[in-house]
Parts: sequence; structure tokens; C-alpha cells
Amino acid sequence: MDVTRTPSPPDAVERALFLRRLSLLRGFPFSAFRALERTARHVWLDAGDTIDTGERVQDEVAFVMSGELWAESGLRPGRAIGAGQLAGLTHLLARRPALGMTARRPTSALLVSADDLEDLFERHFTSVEFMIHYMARECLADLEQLPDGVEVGFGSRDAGVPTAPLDFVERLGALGTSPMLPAQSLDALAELARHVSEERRDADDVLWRPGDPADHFLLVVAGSIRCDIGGGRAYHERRGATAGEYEALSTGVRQFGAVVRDPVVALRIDRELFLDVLEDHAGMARSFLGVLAEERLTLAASRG
Amino acid sequence: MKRGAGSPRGSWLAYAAGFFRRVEPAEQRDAAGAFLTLFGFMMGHALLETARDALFLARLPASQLPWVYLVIAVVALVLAERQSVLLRRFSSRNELSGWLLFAATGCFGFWLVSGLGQTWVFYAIYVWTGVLATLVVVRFWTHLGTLFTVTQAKRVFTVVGSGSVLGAIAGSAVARGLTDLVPPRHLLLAAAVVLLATSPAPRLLRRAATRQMPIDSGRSPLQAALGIWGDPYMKRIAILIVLAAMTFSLVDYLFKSAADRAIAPPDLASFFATVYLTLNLASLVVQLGVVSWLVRRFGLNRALAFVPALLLLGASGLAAGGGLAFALIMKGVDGSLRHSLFRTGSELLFVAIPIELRMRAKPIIDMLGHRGGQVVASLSLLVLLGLGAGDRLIAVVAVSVAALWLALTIDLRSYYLDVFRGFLDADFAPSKYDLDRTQLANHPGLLGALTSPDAATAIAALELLAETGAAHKLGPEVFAHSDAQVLVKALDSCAEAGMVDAAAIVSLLRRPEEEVRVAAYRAAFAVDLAADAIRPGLEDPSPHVRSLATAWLVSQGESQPPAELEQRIKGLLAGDAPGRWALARALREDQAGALRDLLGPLLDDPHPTVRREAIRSVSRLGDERFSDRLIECLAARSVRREARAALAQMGPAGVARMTEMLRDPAVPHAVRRHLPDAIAGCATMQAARTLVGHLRAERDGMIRFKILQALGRMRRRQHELPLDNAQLRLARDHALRQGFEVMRLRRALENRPRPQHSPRLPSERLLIGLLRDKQDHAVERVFRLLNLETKNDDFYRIYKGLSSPTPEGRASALELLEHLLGTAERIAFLEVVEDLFELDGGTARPARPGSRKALVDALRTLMTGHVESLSALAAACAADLGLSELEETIDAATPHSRDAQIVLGRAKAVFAGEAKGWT
Repeated sequence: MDVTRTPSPPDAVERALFLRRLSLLRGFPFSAFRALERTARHVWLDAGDTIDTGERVQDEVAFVMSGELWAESGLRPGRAIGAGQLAGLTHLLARRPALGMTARRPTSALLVSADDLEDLFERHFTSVEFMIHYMARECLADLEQLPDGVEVGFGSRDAGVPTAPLDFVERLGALGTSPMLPAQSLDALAELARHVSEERRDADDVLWRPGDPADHFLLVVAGSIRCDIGGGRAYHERRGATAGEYEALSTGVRQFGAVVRDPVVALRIDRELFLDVLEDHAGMARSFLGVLAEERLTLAASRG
Repeated sequence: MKRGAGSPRGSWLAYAAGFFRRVEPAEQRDAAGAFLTLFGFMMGHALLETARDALFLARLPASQLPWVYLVIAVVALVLAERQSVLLRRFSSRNELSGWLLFAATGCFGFWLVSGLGQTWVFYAIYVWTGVLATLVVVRFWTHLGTLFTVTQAKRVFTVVGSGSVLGAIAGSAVARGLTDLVPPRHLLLAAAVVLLATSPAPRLLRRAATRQMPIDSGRSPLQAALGIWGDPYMKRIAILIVLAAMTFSLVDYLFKSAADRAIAPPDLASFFATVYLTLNLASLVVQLGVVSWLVRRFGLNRALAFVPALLLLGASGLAAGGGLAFALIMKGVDGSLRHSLFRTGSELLFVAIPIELRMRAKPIIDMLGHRGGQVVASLSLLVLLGLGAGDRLIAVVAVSVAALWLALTIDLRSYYLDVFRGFLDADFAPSKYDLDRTQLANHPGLLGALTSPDAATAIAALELLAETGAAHKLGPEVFAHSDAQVLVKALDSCAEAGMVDAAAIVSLLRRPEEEVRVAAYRAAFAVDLAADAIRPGLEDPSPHVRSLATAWLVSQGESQPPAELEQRIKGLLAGDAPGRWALARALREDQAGALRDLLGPLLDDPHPTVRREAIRSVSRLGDERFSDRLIECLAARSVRREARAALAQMGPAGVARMTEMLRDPAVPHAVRRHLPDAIAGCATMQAARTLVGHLRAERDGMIRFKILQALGRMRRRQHELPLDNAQLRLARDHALRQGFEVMRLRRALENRPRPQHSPRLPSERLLIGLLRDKQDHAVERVFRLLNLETKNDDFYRIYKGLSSPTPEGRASALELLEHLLGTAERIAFLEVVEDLFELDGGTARPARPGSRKALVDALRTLMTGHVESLSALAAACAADLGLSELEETIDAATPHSRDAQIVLGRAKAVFAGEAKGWT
């Protein structure tokens, strides 16, 4: 990155105050917050300076303190990132090619590297929990912004509805093949498989309504679920996809209603259990963040 | 698997095959080029060496040797100084080819003039041989060092180094044969032919990645040497090489002097040929069978110490009066270990240095070290001989130098490890923004931000101040802020810290914003206010405020009829969450204990904020009757932190109760798994002893892991916390054995005989993946235990480094690990680690097919084990694979859970043809 000048870089308190104001970091536990703040690197960009070329994997998050960055990727139209906003987090978590980030006017920013973020995640699980909360909330916001009439589908076609209750091996297999649950930690999935419960619901059953408490989500093993966003918009969860995880992992209140479309066999995963498992398996927690980031990018692509 | 299992044994050929298989496919071309180059050069050199010694000592006395040592050193230094010019024009491999051609031409020339019988020719041949060896060998190893990481080098260099020994054997064998047929001068012609034939071999090597890097970067040799002197590690390598060169020169002199005295001139050629052949054969045995084992078994530094230690013993014998026999022993150690163990080992010392630095420093250290040592040894010899000293006194000098060499080799270890730590330390650099809590809390910028008109800034400052534990710094001006959110945050921060200005609260109890009034009444619990100030809250339009006011009055034991009090409490219990929260908060003040039982239902409240407050009240009251309830609360994520803190307040009684529950397998897993952290929260010796003591008794891997996490946290908070290292060591051995066993079982499954391209079954994939995870956990446990034992972060860094994206990072981590581990556990742990992280070359070789018996045995072991998920998956796998040998095991298995029972039942049905498998 080219940095041509650095007029009076912010001191430690200015940096801390700035970062603390960001919605992402509000309520961040102090030790994790300080760890993040200490590793942030300040840069000053003149208009036209770039942060990344867009050729590498995104390896930094930019927190804009003042000025404005123009962020572009091949996935969606460019957008302006103003003071108090951040750029690059979703791409970094999804390990996607870097955004092109160019200063549109003199801009001051704090950069946090992917390595430092990974270190933070590993040492402070609360930071992962916050990040999951943030990404899930953003996914909900992205769903709200889908154009009217758009229906988005997740998951794959059924391979047949199992008639008998799922045993431990089948539950583990279902969890292990879901793209939502990174399978590199089978030990974590085995722990989940021991504690999840099976739900079988008929077509047209209402799973939940807006405003209901959201303390769990469902992993669809067979069948399909339709979640209505309103305005003719909906998303469908089929085999391997999860329903209701955004609310369960962020607000704790159902934002969209969910109805069974084709008879469903699903695994019910409690929020607390899921977060406990992630806490004990740092690798899976990090990968799950990557999955949420991928979902955000998919939603962004659907939005056009 | 890369080493050990699968190596064919039982014959020399099989052994040799195993030896050369250390080279991975991607390394074969470089290794072959290096091997051939070294083989050819050393063969030519052995021929030259025999001719040189025989021709020289037949015509000149041994006392002339120091002069030629001196000239060799000076000429080599001058030529090395010019090498950088050649490097700028050629890649190293072309330069090597050029040197070999030049050597062949020189040998041919000397063969022509050696027939003249003039004395200067024999001096010249001696110098020529020495100079050639120095220049070619140094350039060769420098180039090779750029092609491999330290992990690769440890495997490949032993194979390449065997080319040196084999070439020397071939050369001395040919010399031995030729000396019976022709005069020794014709060995020069044979050497010329061999060197000429070898000259194309370096072309097989890849170009060095840093070929543009000039050796001296424009600096003079003196400047470069001073640069090396400034680096503690390189300085020690340089001194080590000087001392080694001095010792080798003294040993060489003592040997040749003894030979000169004992052997008649006509027999010298065949004597030297015989001795060199014998020594080279011994060297081969060492190279093939000993070097790698020594380095693996003892680590690089300890293995390198064998050379000076043995020379020290040999020279001591000679100093004590031994004759040619001791000289031969010393030469034997020199001949068998110098080009095998010492050469390979000292090259590995260089590989530790970052490549750019290495390219600049190695030629200089090599040249100045080897030749400098030779110069010092030669001058010493000249002085000693001039003073009339005999071989015994020279042997005493050799003993002294070897002792210094030995001491330095031992001292070098910590510096060697620091180089690798440096690779891994990049992520651990402190930040210049690292203000501590006190500095942050007192920073004028932060205090100024508290009254910022921008609400977000003021709230951020309030949060930071509260989190630094400095809420007492909040002045009255903060409570005069116009923004309601700032006021709420200020009141909550002060109430949390128990430091609220009563006047500020009173002024806020009547604010128009409901959220401010609620926060003010909440904060009122933390101060001593008159009841009259609170009582108006009973009439407040906000039900939340009314509840809080009621609870406050209850907490103060306001004189009121019992019936009214009871009614108020019932109203709060049946009311909304803020009311129940207020009651939970109010009960904290009930020191008399009359209302304390009400905390029971509040600890079960569905609303986490109420539960949390009830837990805080229990903690403040220190009532041990609630300890079991608090322990149960550990299962709930939303209140776990408060429950942990409350249990920590219970002191020894709390630890004792938690210890009982940790040891009781009947306690729900959801609770037990969080007990280690809760116990560690007490931060006492009792807590540490409990956790360490329970490590080996615990059967659940997850809980063992949680114990280690908890101990790690305790150690970070109290660095000097004493832990029972003997217990930790036993736990480490246990974890290592588990890791090794799991690896063995996984390999049996991975290598099961199956048709080519046939995919693995789903149950099989799951089982293999789960076993890999278990191996990973066992390895992580070993690393955590090592960290606890050693009280430093080295092992944490290594564990991180093993997953480094760069080969250098992984190799550094592995190298550091090898050196920090004790001798006993090194081999087993390294095998488990290398297998898990797929280290040591990076390209996995296709596994050799295993046997059905090994598969059946592995599945049987898993099925009869105590890990529920593994036994269930093993049963499913056995049924899917149709392994009828395991039917009986399935029939006899005792399921540990309902899940396992269902899977075992289905597996039996699959064998009986009554159900489908999991495919």
C-alpha cells in the first residue's frame, strides 16, 4: 500500500474512542477490544491512493476514521465507505479476492490484518461470538433489502425422506455434509450430533412467526421450508441448509415467519449448545464465520 | 506416513532403498544432481589426496606441513574474495561446473610436471588440493542450502552427504588399486579424468532462488566479517568453525608426523591409500546409519558435540604418550566424522539463518573459518616446532582447542533456538499503542471525551473508563449531559462499580425520560439514600420505576406491616422482568436473611438479566447454601460468567464442592465441562492442585482439554503459580500415548485394502475424520502441558507455527520443537506431529496398503473403547464393510449411551440382512 504522508496520526485514546464507537465493537469485551485496538495500523491516504489491488485474497479490514474510501469487488457495484464505517470484513472472513479500495479524498483509516484478526479470534472467543452476531444481523439486513418478488434458495434436492428416526451416525452424517457447518472439525460435529434433537413436521406447519423467541435453528435433512420476508420475497431452505440461524445468532427474536412447504425432517440446534460447541472448537468457529460471510456475499449477488 | 513404518528391512539393499526414499519426489532432481556432483568431486579429491600425501612425505619432512597449510589458507582466502565476481556472472551451478573443469585441467597439468621431480611441484600439488577442496565444497553447500528448508535439509543432506563418503571410498579404493600398479603421480591423471566426467553434474541442480544476491553486497570482506561478528549466532558459528579447523589441522599434522616416522617412504602411498579407504568406509557407515539417527535422537547440537568430544579423547591419549595407534584413532574420528557428521551438521547450522543473510554470510564464515583456523593452527605449529616441541606437546594443544570447540558447541544451542524463535516471533511484537489500564484511565483525552457533546463519543469514553476500572473518575459534569443514553450509561457504569454520587442520582430520579429514571433507580441501590427520596417512585407512571422503588424500599427494610411487604414482594415476583430484577437486586441488601429464600426461584428465572442479578446477590451474600444452584447455572451460557464469578467468591468451600462434582461422572456433562474454568477462577493453590490432580483421572477428552485451558489461564494470570510438574509430565505421557494410538488406528483405516479409485464409505470417512480430530486434540494437549511445565510460550508459538502458511515457518516450528523436547519423547511425538501437520517434505507419498487384519483389529479396539462416538462409528463402519469377524464384538459390546445402543442394534441387523447400512 502506498502511504504518502501521515499528518498527526491518532494517539492511543483517539484510536480507542474511534473503534469503540463502531457498532461492530460496541460491547466488545475489554480485553478483546484492546487486543484489536493495539494491532490496528493507522494509514493516511491521499485522494487516489489505493489500499489493495484486488488481486490477492482480502487480508485487511479498513476502519475509516475520516474521509472516504471507494470499495469495489467483482460481486457487486462499488460503494462509498465513509467515516465510522468499515470495509473488507466480509471478504476477509470469506477469504475472497481483495476489494479494490481507493481513497476518494484524503482519508484516515485504521487497518487490521487478517493475521491479527485470526489471533484475536483464537484468543478471545467472545470476539468470535460478537462477529457471528454482527454477520448474522447483517445477513438479516441483506435479506430485507432483496428486491420485491425475489425468492432465494439454499440447499440441495432431497435424496429421499428417512422414515425411521435418525441415529447418531446419520445425524453426524447430516451435520457433516451441510455446507453451513464446516466439516473439518468432526469432533465438534459429533458433539452437536449427540445433543441435537430431530423434528418431523408436515407440509404447511408453521414453524415460527415474526416476534417469536429465536433460541434455536433447524438443519434441514429432508423436505423444504419457506421463510417469508414480505413483499413477495422469500427464501427456501432445503436439504443441508439451515433455517432461522440469523435470528437465533443475533437478535434472538424471529424477524420472518417460517412454514413447512414439503414434509420436513430437520435437526434442531439450540443456540446456546451451538455457541458452546464453537467455543470449544476454535477452528470450526472461524470456519462458521467464513460460511456466514459467504452467505452475505451470496445475498449481495442475489440483490444485484 | 513418512518414516519408520513401511520401511523394508532385513537386507542392505532394502536398507539402502529406505535410506534413499527419504528424498521426496519433488526433491529428487536436486538430490540426484547434488549427490553426483559430490560423489565425483570427492572421488577425484581422494585420488588427489593420496597422491599428494605420498608424493609430499616421500620427499619432504612432516615439519614442512604447517607451511603448506598456511599457503593453502592464504590462497583460498584470496580466491574467495574474487568469487563474488564470478557469482555476478554465473548462477552457482554454472560456477560449480566451471570449478570442476578448472580442477580437471589443473590436475592434468600437475600430472605433466610432477615427472620433473622438482620440490616446488610437491608444495604446489599440496596447496592445489587443499584450495580446490575448500572452494568447491563451500560453493556446493552454499548453493544447496538455498534449495531446501531446514526440515528438508535434515533428510536430504544426509543422502547427499553419503555421495561425499561414497565418492571418497571409490576414490581411495581406486587409489589403493593403482598404487600397486603405477607410481603415485599417475593418480593425478586419474583425478583429472574423474573431475572432468563430473563437471556436467551440477547442471541437474535448480538455480538458486537468490542467485542475484551478491555474496558481499558491495561490502569488503572486512566489513562483511564485522557484520557477522555483530550477530551472536553467526559469530559463534564462525568461532566454532575456526576451532574445528584448528583441531582438524593439528590432528592431520599429528597423524602425518607419526606416519612419517613409522612408515618407510616407498610404502607411504599404499599406507595412505589403505588408511583413507578404511576411514572412508567407516565414514560411509556413519553417514548411512549414524548421522541421521544421532541428529534425530539427540538433536543437532548434541549430535555435533560428539565430534570434538571424541577428538578430545583421542588427543588426550596421544598427549599421554600414545604413538601411531592413537594418531590413527584420532585420524579415524576425523576421517569418519568430519565429512559425515560434522559437515552435515554444520551445514544444518547455516540453514537456520534466513536465506538472504545466509547467502552473504556463509561463504565468508566458511572461508575465514576454515582457512583462518588453518592459518592459526599452522602458525601455532610453526612456533611450537621452532621451539622444539614434540608431538605430545602439540597433542596437548589439540586437547585444549577441542575442549573449547566442545564448550562452544554446547553454548551454541540457545542461540540456535533463538534463530527459530525469531521466525515465529513476528506475530508477537508489542504494539507502540500498548497503554496499560492506568495510563488509559488517566489519559486527558479520555477524560475530556466524557463530556463530549457527541453522545457516541461520550458513551465510548464511559465504556472505556468503566472497563479500565476507573468509573470513580466520573465527575458531576457527566451527569449533566443532555443526552439520555449518556446518562443511562453513566449511571449504569457507576452502579456497577458501586460508586455513585448520591446528589447526582437524586437529581436524575425525576428526569422526564423513562430510561434515565429507571437507570437512576437502579443506581440508587448502590448508595445510601433517604427513603423519602425514593418513595415518590411508587407513584411513577412507569411500571419499571414503580417496581424498582418498591424493591428498594423492601431492601431497606422499610417499616411496614408484614402483610403489605409480602404483597409487594408477591407483586414483584409475579410482575415483569424489571420488577423481578429489582427484587433480585434488593435481596442483596437482606443481610438478616429473612427473605433470602426468594433467591431460589429467581435463580431459575427465564429472563437472563434477572438470573444474573440473582446470582450477583447470592455472591454478595456469600450464602453457601446456594453453591449447588450456582454450579447448575454453569450449564447456561447466558449466566455462566456471573455464576463463575460467584463461585470464585465462595472460597475454599466452593472449590471443595466443585471438586466433588468434577469427580462425579453422574453430574450432567453440560455442568461438568464448565467446572474446570470455574475452579480456576478461584486462583488458589487448592484450585490448581485440584485441576492438575484430576487430569489423568478424567476420562472425557473434552473435560481434560478444559482443565488444561483453565490451568493455562491461571498460569497467565499468575506466572509463578507452582504446578506439580511430575503430574503434568504423567498427563503429557498419557496424552502422547493416546495421540500415537489414535494415529495408529487411523492409519489402519486409511490404508485398508480396497480397489483402486473406489471411494470411501460415508461411515468410514466420518470415522477417519474423527480420529484425525482426536489426534489433533491429543497433540494440542501435549503442547499445552509442555507450556505449563516450562512456564513459557515457546510451545504455543510452535503449535501456531506448525500451521504456518510458509514452509520456513513450519520448518522453524518443527526444528524448535525437536530441540526443546526431551530425548525420551522426541521420536514418538515428532512422528505424531509430522503425521498430523503433514510436515517433512510437504508432499504426501501414497500410503502402502494395509491388511484386513489391521483394519479389523483397529475397529475392534475402537468398538470396545470408552469413546461413545468412536465406538458407534466403528460399529457402523464394520457393518458397512461387511467385516463378519467383528459380529461377535458387536454382539458383546456394552453401549455407553442410548445413541450407541441404537447404532449397535442397527449394525447387528445389517449383518443379519435385516436392515440397510449407512451407505
